[in-house]
Amino acid sequence: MSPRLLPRASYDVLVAKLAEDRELLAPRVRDGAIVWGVVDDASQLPVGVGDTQTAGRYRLRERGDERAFGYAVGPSSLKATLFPPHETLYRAERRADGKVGFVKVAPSPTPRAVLGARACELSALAVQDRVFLHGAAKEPRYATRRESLELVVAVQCGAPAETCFCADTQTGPRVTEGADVVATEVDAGLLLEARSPRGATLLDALPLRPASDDERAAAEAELEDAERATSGRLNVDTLHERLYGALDHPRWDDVAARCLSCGNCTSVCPTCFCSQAEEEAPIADALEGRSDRTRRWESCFTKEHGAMAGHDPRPTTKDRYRQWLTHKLGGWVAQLGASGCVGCGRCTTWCPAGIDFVTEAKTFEEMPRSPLPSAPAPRDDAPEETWVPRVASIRAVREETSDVVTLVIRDDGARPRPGQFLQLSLPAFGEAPISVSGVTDDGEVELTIRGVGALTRALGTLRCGDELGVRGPYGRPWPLDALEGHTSVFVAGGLGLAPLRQALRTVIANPSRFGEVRLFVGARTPDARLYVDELERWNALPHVQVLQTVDHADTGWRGHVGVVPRWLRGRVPPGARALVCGPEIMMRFTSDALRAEGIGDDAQWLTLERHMKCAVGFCGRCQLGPHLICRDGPVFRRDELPLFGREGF
Amino acid sequence: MQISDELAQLPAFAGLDSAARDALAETVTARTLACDEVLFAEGDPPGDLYVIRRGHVQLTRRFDGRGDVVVATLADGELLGWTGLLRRTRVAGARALEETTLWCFRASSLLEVCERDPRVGYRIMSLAFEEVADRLHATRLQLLDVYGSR
Repeated sequence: MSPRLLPRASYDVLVAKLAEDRELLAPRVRDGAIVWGVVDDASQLPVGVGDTQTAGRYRLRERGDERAFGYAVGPSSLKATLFPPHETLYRAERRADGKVGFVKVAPSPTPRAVLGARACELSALAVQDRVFLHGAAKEPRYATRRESLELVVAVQCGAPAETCFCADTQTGPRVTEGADVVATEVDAGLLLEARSPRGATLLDALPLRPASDDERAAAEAELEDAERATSGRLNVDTLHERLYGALDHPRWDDVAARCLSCGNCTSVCPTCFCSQAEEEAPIADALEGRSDRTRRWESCFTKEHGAMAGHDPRPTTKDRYRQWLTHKLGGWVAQLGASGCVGCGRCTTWCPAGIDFVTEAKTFEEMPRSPLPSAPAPRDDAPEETWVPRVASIRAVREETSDVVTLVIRDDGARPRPGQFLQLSLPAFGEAPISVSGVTDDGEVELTIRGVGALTRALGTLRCGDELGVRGPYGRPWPLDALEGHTSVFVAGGLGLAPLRQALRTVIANPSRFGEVRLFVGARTPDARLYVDELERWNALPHVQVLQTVDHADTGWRGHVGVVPRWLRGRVPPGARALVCGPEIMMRFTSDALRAEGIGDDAQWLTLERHMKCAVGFCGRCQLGPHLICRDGPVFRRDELPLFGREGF
Repeated sequence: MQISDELAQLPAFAGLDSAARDALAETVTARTLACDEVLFAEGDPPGDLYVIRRGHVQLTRRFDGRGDVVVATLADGELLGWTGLLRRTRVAGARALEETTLWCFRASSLLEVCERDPRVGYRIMSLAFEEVADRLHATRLQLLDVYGSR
């Protein structure tokens, strides 16, 4: 169907129709920039205003004409509408009697229309949809707002900035997805084309006239100019693989010397989805055990993004810039099946140091390719994940060592499989991922916890009958099937015995299925050993050998003293398959030692710890190269992790 | 003879040819430690070199105010008392954790073999060096205190 023209004088009719019973988001001038704002009158559009953008610079300019959509893109994107920079997930309360409650906070649906969305903007929404709707889970707040976005009138871009490269990323300037109406602005007005029944209904209500051949030709010529202007700058075809082949390139040092690690790029990026979840409360409420669990945008350029108690996997600006660029253009493809870059150029424009994204990325176009894992297919049936815990109660508490307890909880969730984890929470303290250390015959779940932070110390003070919040189970479990027909070697370091224990129980209890078991256990001192009685019972079984060692002991200890990797030497049966869990550095040396014993990377599995906030791939915090640890792990076969043990990831 | 053959079974001596092993076998005697028997004490004068045939030996160091601290446990096939090769005072004490059988290499004879046949001497010193390097690596890992409350 050929486009029809809405004369400039009738823009107010379009705005009125879109704003009828809805909130209309459209471009407005505010604080010297064109941003998304609520519009109810066509005079509020940026008529005659253009923009000039270069690396580190954004200025509005007089166009000298009457165009209302004669600019490229401003700093704000529609992301903030569907995924607000700050919002409350739930309210939590813990009473003096130890009982807890959690009340979901959900947005009330606000019907919205959008006028003026660019192709890049709509591509970015499609990318966000992959994160929040079609991944491991579906985010109900995002879904509500997405459904409330009733009508989208896109305006194809005829005024790209110098920073734009949407033709290269194949996300513009022509609109191919996500719009009910596609418009192109010419001097006389907007050429409009419906792309959905809702769009057609809208057009029927507007005073349109047929577009002339000249008008159609003018629109086409502007689009072709825009295509030329935004193409030929960056070849993204195989860039995702080339970035991971160039992790030691000197360019990372070069850019790190210029980068301020300020996070502006991630704030203006229309696809960046990382978030922080935390407890917020006035002090008086917190003291009473009440808090709000909130979520806010987080940037991979902050220390908080990856840091866990005592360990920051990406401490330098180089690590963080490399994480951002490799994720945006590479890891995204492996995690979500689409690049995270839509070529809008915002990150370049709004970089206070003037770092040009295209120039940096272009450095890697010719690097060797390093294949990435392929992304899971987008799901339309992902289960809803509200982030709201359910209430579980403590049935027993066992003190394992001076700073480690095992909580036995009664929980209505699914039965966790060996190696999976739960998210445990307490109002006013927060939430943390804790590996399941056992499931009893009557379905109670054991969780072994060391007090290292405020939450884990508070969990350590819980008593029988107290309640706590639980989400999960999450994560990929230990591959017990892979152990069948092989001698099973388990290597546990410190608290790492906890995530292995349920797998050990299963394997040990089924010798006809699994065969012999050799368990190496390392601990700091004899007093720090976990589950001592259980270890003794296992060692007494004919098909099980438990080999314990400690790093430090006095002469009263008659067991072994020495580190696990050396303890393994000469004691690993040939053809064995190994499951390893412990501190990352211990696993690194253990993995090397297993290799030296002939256990290849395809016969070793280990479980990783990263900063898991959401556990379902929404928050982006637990990344290791192309992997989201919560979703793809935490258990990995060793050969899936080429970056394991490398500094800065 | 059996001693030479048995030495060949030890990973530490597997790389030696039979002539070298025969030369070594001349310096060796078997020894058995009772449970808790002290083989040598920290600060003892230079002594012999041992390889554990079967059993466990605890290496300890005195730590003023804390008594003895175990620095390592050695088991089957491991080299014990490397200071003997350097004619040095014992840097740690050694005590059997159970009945333990050892090969005892007379230090003076062993050093004589090394002097007489530098090829064998090189091999023996390499073995000792590898062992010391491994222990250094392990000690560094211990120092990292990887299981400490983080």
